[in-house]
Amino acid sequence: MNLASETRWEDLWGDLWMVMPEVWLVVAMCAVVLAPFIKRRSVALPLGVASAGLMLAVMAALSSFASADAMGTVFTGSLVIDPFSQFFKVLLTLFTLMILGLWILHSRSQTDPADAPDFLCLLLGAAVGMSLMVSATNLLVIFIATETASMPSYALAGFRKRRREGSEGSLKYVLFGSVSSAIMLYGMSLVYGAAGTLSIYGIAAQAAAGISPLMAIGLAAMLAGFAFKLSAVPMHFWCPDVFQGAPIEVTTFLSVASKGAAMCMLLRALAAFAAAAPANGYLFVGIGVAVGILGAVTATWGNLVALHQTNIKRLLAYSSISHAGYMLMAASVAVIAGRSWEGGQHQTGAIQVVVGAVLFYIVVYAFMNLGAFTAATLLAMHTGTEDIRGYAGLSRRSPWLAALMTACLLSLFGMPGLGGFWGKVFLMKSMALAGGAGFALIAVLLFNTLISLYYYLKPVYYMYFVPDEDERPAFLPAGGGLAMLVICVSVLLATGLLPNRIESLARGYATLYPNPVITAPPPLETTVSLLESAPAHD
Amino acid sequence: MEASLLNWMIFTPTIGALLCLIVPGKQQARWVALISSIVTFLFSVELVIAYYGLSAGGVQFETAVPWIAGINAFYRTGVDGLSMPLVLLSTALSILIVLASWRIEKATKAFMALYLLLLTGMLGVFLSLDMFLFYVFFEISLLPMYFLIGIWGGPRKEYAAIKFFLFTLAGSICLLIVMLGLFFLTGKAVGASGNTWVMVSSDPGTLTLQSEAVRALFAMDDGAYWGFAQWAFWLTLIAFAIKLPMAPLHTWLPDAHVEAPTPISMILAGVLLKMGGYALMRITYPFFPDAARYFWVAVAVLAVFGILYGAMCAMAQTDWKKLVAYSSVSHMGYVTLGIAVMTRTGFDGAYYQMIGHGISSAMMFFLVGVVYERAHHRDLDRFGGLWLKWPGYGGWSLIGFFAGMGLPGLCGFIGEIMVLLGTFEAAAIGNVGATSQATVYTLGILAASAVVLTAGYILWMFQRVYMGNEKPEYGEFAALTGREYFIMGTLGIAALVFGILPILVFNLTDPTFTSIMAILGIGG
Repeated sequence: MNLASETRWEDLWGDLWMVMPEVWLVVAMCAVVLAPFIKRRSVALPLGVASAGLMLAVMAALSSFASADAMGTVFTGSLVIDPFSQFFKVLLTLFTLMILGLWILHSRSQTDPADAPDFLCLLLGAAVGMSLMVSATNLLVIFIATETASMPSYALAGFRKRRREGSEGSLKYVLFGSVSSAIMLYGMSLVYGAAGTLSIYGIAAQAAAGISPLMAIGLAAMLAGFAFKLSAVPMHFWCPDVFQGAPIEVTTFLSVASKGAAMCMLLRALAAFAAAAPANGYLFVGIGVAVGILGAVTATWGNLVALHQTNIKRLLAYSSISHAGYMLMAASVAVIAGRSWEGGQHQTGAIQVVVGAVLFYIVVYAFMNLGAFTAATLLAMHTGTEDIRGYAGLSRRSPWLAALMTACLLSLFGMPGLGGFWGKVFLMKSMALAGGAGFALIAVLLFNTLISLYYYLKPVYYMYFVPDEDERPAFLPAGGGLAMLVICVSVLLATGLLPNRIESLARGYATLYPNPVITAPPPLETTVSLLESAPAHD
Repeated sequence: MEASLLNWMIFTPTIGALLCLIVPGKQQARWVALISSIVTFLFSVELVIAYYGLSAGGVQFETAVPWIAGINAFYRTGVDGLSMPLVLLSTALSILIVLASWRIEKATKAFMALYLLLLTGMLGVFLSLDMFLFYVFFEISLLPMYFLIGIWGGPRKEYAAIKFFLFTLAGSICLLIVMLGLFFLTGKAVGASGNTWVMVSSDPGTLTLQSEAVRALFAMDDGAYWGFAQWAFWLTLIAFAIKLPMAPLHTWLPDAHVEAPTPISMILAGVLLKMGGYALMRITYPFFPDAARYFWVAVAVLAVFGILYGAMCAMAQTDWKKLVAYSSVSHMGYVTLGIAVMTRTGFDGAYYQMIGHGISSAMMFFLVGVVYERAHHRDLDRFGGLWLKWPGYGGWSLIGFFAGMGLPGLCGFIGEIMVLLGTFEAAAIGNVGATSQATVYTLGILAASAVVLTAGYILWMFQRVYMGNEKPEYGEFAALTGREYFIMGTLGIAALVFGILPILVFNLTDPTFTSIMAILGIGG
């Protein structure tokens, strides 16, 4: 943490071992690009390399749980390795592996073999950015990680080069992304000017002493940047177009991994603020309330707009916006309850409860969204349409596919017996920590659940209630896709009937690196000079 | 032994549902459904025999297994006098309903599987003692119903299905808010270990939401609890009034009934509506007795409004099934009224009305279905002279509809008369606070006058359908089958038996109702 300490090569070398998941991803990324030099126009080779890299990354992330030495800060405190970050990295890399599976299923046959390494390289690159996002504790690293995740995503969104919608979505994504990055960077510069440090812990400590208007504006601008990655209202306009235009595996990846990483990054920042909260910091509660309102508006807006969608990908896009809203609402509680309105007692356990609930939600959300999108993919391949009116009579043509998709949609809605229900229950449980404000959040969440039922049942309605007028033949989807869907639904059922295991797992891993003790924030000049002198050590 | 029996009973239909999906043909699926509902029924008979041997009024055969440690939720099931008769009603009706759906040819396997799943949901609602488990079963019973109406229903089935789902879900959400509030309030009162969802339990060491202990803790902070209790009372009342249904939240019911296939109408009217009344007696009133006493006039007025409004709507119908559906709205109004006046007689009457209505409404819907299957319409003005065509059917119809009407000697009478007596009793013993006796009498007289309306629409309907000359198109009607006679006969005999021997039900419920009265602070 202490920038002033002598940074030595040996330390950096040692630090490298702690970020092995990222290292493996970068190595795999480079190897994938080089693969065509070994075997031209091969898809299997880069695919194998990418899968191997991802598996090594999974193992590296898992192995960091083996010893306490593997946890801590690295690279002079700009990254943090803790159970929380490693849990998300395991989840992320496993999820990326499943995205590869979805890609094989859906796009491989349509993709020019020469493009395969490009795709894989971009996917891995985005994964690197996302795994850095959850570890970042320094504003610059936060910015770099976010951009590392975003840049490949822009290209991935437009990967189907001949599709107009893809290009349109991609362009929209780039424009929105760069504007929001600029806003975030501007906010960071203001915060740095006000706090004199780039570390989120230092900023939190400074803010505890008093939030100046300059810092408030800076924090709000940074929140806008986070909101873009989370596709929170009003920074959500890219989301439906990108989701509709992008190939479905990219859509799935963006809807889960990208949002999950942004959520974790935000959680870490909020937790740092909550832990530094002073005794009478009503402005701190203001930060939480701002996030909570953002989440409530996002959830409600996403659900209301989803009511009118007829394209399954747009429908799921708006659904994912509302789910981001639910998670934001819970995340806000980390700050609100950290500085509870009731009794002035600092609820130390609140942060862990909130983080555990959100982690559980991300796990369940990953599987239900993956399942819903996989089912949509299989259907789109078969019927050639993403319009839900094309689902008519599916229960007769392909009863298993219809049933599995229904299960995923009902889990997204929150039907008891499926994982999504417990996700919402644990979010509500953590919201209740915030007293009166928490109950307002719960009311918003329940109201939204009611609205969302209507549009989640819309595909179900066509699949089961509307007969097929074209008399299309029965079909059984490809084995791989069906297997993936079965896995997703099994996980949802398992978490739905016995949520204990996963919930305690998520709660156990919700341990964040504690705020380092900062005695006196260094004056502005020193910090700047130290930063300037930093490259000399490299 | 009985505890595991009880849990087997809940999940036997689920096993049957899975089997239904596996078996190759339609016929096998029907038999699987029939056998699993018979097994479920036998389990419940075994249970009631064991229950009769016990004199205590508390919860029996309790199972408590920790389920979700994070929120202190238990898998807690058990049976007491409040649930036992309804469980028996559900399992017995379920056999008849499988028989009634024997001729369903469209996706038979899926139909039977969903139906059995619904049965698990219903039994789970009646038998769960943990509020969270209750909620889960409450929700799980929605989904099969949605599909059963939406796939096998009539012309406007989609509209009816989604309306049913959205209405009931809105209610569930009201319930969930109160549940969370209770959970956190108990935690606040007793400390983190006190967070509880347990509604009632036989274990004296368990903190239950119905127990005096929790109430005493709430009483420490009178103002805060009172504020919560007022909201919570109305929210749970709305949640269960939608299910019951209580006017003006009943509008989903006529749609659902008209569109649903006959056996589904039977289960909907026969059992699903009772979940609302059961939950009012299990949750709303024992948890918030003060609020219930404070607001009793409002609830009673709504109930009387429902009785009158339902009866008048029924009178105006030309669709036979819609008439029966509105008669349900009217009859369930008596249930609300009996509970709202908060007298022992009222509670007993309301409960008996649920059992009686479970028998008579299922029978009425079946009687309509039998004719609809052959005539393919339900227009009352196009019928007439059915008695001449089928004298036997006419005889059973007489029992069924007159049981619905509340003729003495049949099951509908006892509930109605006890509710009315209980209403007047409320004025006499002043249970309901300082409200003037005039209010009570007015409500009682209005509710009693609805009996005339009921007789009016039933008799007028009977006249239009059964009396007069036989219509020529009846010649094409297929003869009634033995299966249909069996269903009518069983329900008709049950209507007679429960009209003559109310003791069969009250023997089971009495000790439990005494303890509920103690919680409500009512002597008797």
